[in-house]
Amino acid sequence: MATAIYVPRINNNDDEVKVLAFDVAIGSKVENGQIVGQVETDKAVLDVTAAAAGFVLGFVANPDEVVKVGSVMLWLGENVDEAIPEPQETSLLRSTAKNSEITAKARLLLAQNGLQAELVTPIDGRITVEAVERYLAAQGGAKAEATKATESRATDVLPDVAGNQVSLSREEKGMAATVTWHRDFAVAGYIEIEYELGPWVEYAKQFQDKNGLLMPPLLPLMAWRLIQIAQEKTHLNATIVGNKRYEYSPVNLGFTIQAGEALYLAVVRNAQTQDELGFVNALGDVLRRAAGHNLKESEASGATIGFSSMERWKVTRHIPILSPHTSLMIAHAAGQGGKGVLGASYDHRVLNGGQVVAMLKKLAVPNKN
Amino acid sequence: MSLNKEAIEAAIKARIVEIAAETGDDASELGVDEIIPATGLIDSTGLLELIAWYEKTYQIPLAQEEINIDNLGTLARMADFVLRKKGLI
Amino acid sequence: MLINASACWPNPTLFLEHKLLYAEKQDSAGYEEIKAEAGDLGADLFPTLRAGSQDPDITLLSYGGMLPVAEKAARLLEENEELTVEIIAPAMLAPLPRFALLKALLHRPRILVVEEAHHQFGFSAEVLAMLMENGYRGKVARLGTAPVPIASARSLESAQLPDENAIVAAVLDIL
Repeated sequence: MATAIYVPRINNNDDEVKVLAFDVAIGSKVENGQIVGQVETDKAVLDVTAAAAGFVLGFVANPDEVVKVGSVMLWLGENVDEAIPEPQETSLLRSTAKNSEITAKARLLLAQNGLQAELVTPIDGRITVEAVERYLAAQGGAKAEATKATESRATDVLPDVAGNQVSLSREEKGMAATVTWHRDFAVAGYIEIEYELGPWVEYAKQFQDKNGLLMPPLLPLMAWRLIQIAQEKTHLNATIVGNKRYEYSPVNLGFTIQAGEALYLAVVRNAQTQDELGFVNALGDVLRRAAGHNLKESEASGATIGFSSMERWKVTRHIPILSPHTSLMIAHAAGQGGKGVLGASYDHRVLNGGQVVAMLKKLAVPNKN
Repeated sequence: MSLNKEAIEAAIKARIVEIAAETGDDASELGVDEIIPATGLIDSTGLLELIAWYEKTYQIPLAQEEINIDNLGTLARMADFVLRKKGLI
Repeated sequence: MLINASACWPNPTLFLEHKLLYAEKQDSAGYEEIKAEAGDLGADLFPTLRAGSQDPDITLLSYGGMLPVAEKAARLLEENEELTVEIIAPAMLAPLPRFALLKALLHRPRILVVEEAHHQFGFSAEVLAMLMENGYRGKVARLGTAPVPIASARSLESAQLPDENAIVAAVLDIL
């Protein structure tokens, strides 16, 4: 087994000493008590002796290096070819502080430019000034919007097969930017449960008849139930920024709607302030505007939780993409034989499977009260 | 665009047939007094599309509370509602 | 240098001896003198020194035995955090070279005064108060020893005195 010879303390006020020289070479045999080298402080030079016999395996400190008292100076082994145990840091500078993930200067730069650190691709695992400047340069030097991931990170090369490049419509650009957040930031999972369609269909029917609604209110009512659940469980209405969970104060419900070729996420803001009928009407209102391609900016952004249904396409299950800065998107689909599946995509940084299942089970039955 | 009841009903029906076709349904047999959402020919998204088209085509901005079965539930009611809004009946 | 300056100084000189500095070489180590201002009594004899960036993210103001520690912290901040660091080291604490310090510090964005001494009611308090009185707009902090007696046990003493990591942490705090 290898034994270490440590840097001795020369006087009480010096926690560091300078290694002057080694008197032995790697591979040479050392007797117990033999002088192996010298260390120096400003007051004295001291010989370092071996406390055991052995072969010199290697030096950890180097001549003229200032090292900490008590750190390993060299290793002795019983055999010449023994392995040196794990190397240890001896340089003062290296031992004092570990690299942080984002350098302070990079943090200042991020703040000056109103950027979130997560937009920037780290260099060698660290966000440095260079990494931030690279990001800024990629943005054409323009100040990027703080909360939006509008650019995909890598630039794709054109495929080697003949084709035409077609510019994206405004809606298509919006969709591409929106789903890119999911790829870049969320750690997405998907869970589904099977549930009885009957109670919800019955509940929605009664609600529709009672209020003389033209639109079947099933999905708005389920979304309303989701809002109620999200108010109890604040994790559901949250996201992660940096190392912290960001729990939203309002519940802004985003509802996917296909209008012609365009896919929108229509948003009812402050949904928690509405009563059931008020919310059903408010959602109907924004959906109608989405269908007419007339969404206001505030109705197409700021979702804190999502709801998506592919029932109209008779799809029996689908895995939705999370919209930016949300951790939950309900996946509603068409049922078969009285049963349906109710699923959810979720950001596993914020929610775990158990929490999502608990939420889905609540959502699977209408609130009778 | 002629604003008589039959013409309006026909135009709306034509649009419904188009929308129903998107989800593979055939609405060509839809009667003027059938409750549209109850037929299952077009779903809620389809209805939204229909209403959005209806507002735009007939230039009648709707308030949310006007969107109910009594006003817009059937082809006949939708046509009447246009005429009422335009002060033609 | 000290003897010459003291001999030229018509008033008594109180020299604060720091025995850990005895071993340090007499080396200007990249420091330059800040030009003495006419209003600063004795500043020409006991100059204030400056080293590091001319456009610093952080200015460390320190003196005596804390100076080598501040230098170590500056290296860490430059290497690990990419910050530009300036060190200002007055050789004379009282009379405080007010004009020179104001000129050097008033436009700096962030200043950390580091003392080995108990810093409450002390030098750092005086410097920062002076800056505030003269309209300083940046961020400031001071780091020193807590208002308790210095422990005899070496481990406790090191825990009490600021080290380079404490300085780095204090700097990161005021960014």
